[in-house]
Amino acid sequence: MGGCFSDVKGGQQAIGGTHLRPYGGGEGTSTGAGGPNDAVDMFFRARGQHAIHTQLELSLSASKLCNCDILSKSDPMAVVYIRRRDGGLEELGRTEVVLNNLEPAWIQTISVSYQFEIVQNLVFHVYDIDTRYHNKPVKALNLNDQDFLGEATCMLSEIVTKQSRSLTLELHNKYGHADSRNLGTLTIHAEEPVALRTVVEITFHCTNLDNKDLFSKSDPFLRISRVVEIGGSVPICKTEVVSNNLNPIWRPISLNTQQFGSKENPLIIECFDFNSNGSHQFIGKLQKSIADLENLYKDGAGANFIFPASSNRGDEKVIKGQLFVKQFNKKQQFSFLDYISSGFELNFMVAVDFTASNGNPCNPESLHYIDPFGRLNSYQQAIKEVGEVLKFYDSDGRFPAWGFGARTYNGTLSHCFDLSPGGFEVEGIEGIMAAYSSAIHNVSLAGPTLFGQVINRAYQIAAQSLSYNDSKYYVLLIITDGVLTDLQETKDALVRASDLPLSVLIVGVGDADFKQMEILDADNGNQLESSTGRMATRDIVQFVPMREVCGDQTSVVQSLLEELPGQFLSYMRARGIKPLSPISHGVPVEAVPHP
Amino acid sequence: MQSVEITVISAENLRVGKKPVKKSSFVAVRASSASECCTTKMSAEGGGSHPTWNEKLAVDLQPADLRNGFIMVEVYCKVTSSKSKLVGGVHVPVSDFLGGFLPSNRLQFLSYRLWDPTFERNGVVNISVRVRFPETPNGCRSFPQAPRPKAIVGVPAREQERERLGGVAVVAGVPAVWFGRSHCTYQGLGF
Repeated sequence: MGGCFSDVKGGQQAIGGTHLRPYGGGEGTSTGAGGPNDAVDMFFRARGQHAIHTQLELSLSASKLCNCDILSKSDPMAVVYIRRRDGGLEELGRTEVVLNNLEPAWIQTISVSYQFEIVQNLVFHVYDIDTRYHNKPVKALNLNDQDFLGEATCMLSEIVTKQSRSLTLELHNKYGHADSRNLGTLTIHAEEPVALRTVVEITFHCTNLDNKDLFSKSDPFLRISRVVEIGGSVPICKTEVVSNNLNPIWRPISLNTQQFGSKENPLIIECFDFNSNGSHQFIGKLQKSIADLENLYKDGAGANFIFPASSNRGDEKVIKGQLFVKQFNKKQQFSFLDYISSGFELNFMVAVDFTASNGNPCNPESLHYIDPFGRLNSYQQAIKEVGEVLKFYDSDGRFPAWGFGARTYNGTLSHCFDLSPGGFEVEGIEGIMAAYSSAIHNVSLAGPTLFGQVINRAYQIAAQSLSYNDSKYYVLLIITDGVLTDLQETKDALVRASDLPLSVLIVGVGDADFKQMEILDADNGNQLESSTGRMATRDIVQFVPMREVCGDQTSVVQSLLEELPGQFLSYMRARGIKPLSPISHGVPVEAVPHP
Repeated sequence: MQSVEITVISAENLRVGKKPVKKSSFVAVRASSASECCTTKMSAEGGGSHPTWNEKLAVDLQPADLRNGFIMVEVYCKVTSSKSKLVGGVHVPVSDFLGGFLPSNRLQFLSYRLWDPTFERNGVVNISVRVRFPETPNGCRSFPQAPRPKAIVGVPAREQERERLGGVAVVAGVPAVWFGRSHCTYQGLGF
């Protein structure tokens, strides 16, 4: 999104604080979670803050640690690592040392950034710190000098999917062997900063803005920045451009605490006249905190813009243009993890392309070739890597697995058949892998490539689950090598499915032309439209070609899964579905989404 | 007769000719068999080509509508204080929100492309639909007979579901291929 302002349309869109579009099909100009926000995301990333990644605080406690000191009890300290992809350990942080305690509850928390799209393997080491090191800062301790009390490992997703967000692990010795001695247990609790959930939604309205254009009126937009302590300001959002209007009302923007800091933190609100060449003309600015804006709303009062002092014009000037707050709403917004830890599930489904274009599976050139030495083909890789991430979010561990585009066991051509002869569901990721490799030998590859039936099958499952459960979200992974024959039917099926708790991930393998898939993945802002003119209410498709990133296979899966939490939230928020409360378990509260 | 609650949420990219709509607009809704329509209020000033209404309208569907009917949704914009002009309209098939596998009282969000009087594509209208069920004397809900354009393959309704409905035929009461147990396909029963 480097050339954000190079096209007028892109430049006029709202960025940042505008909400995930909860409903509505729409054209390029509607603001969505996708496209235009890339700029903001880039902005956060550039500063080391991952806007979409949640920061979690891990607090640790242990029980029944073994005693290494002779005259007193052990003095334990815990160290948390994350296992890198190359197998090495990267230290995330250390707790303080607790003296003489075999049941320590450490106070110092360790912060870790939760990333949905990758499997984050955490390793915990517990040490007994020798008395002579006690006056040293923990960071400076050489761990090789300390007594090792035990090690535990888990996936971060295992913790966050727990109702209590706590996980208790057995400690074992360094080599992973079960020790004859009991080394005790370690409990990890993950907490998300609560403050992020408050969101304010503000509708701004201006009157009597200066006219900056010669032949028409100004095309105003607002830019909001947060004043930071070290001086200067950081832009946090801008509104869309209202063209040719000196009394504009912008669409509501919503800001969360992460963006505006605290209620008292001053915000700079600047008004510009949009210019397609990029040199937007400054109209005026003013400084207000969120609390001030709330007061403006309550009093129905306006605040005058100020034209600041400049070198050629001495004093700052109060101009006649005024800013009003037309609407001000404070809301609680739940995070992805709020839903997941309260019992919401992501249910994984797979569909594999068995069309003849993959090549004869007996031939090593074939995309379906099963290597006798166990090297995974592209299909196996995609199933395994996506499955490894998603399996933690599916409690029963049973996954529907289908194939399409082949003649099945009884010789009929099918565009949606069960991979396993034992039924449409298989047990675990291994189950999918086994069903896939046996299906390869039992069906004969045919064609054409049709997605419609597979998507409709997923649609049925998702639709039927709604009649007794609101807490399931379905993820269909389609792996394909080829060009779609039923593009329009696929679009129709996707448009119909966009109102359901369903996302479709498409992985393209091989060298085919995947232009059509880019159409299905409505990332460029064009919402899918069915043959009858019905539009998708939200983006539910994500497409990634396998070849694009052959060097590093992780990034295929990462970019495939990246949008999923956002798609999940857009569904839940649009319908006003709240996380399950601990009391009314199994019955999510459905609020009325619209007044 | 079947009552349907339609919430007209918003519209996007409304145009008259090639130009974006500037003035207020409103939406008229009617069932295919009805002659009268109900309308929303005028959108707020400043909404322009992206107006929002968030207004609930009730539409009654006659048996004829349920078979193969549609709901007309039309967006008009103000031209003068007393005159308004059709921006675009769409026929929403009743089958888009009634019948199928969805629980029938579910709130559904639907978006449609608008077509202007010269059959050119115009903006998009966003609505939500909830089907209202009249309570029958014994407390069971009666189910509408949704249009069935083709044979439908479904799954057995769960037993308790059947009981809760007091034995009323459930729309999806057909054994399915994908339960693995039975590999047979039935034609849709004559609903």
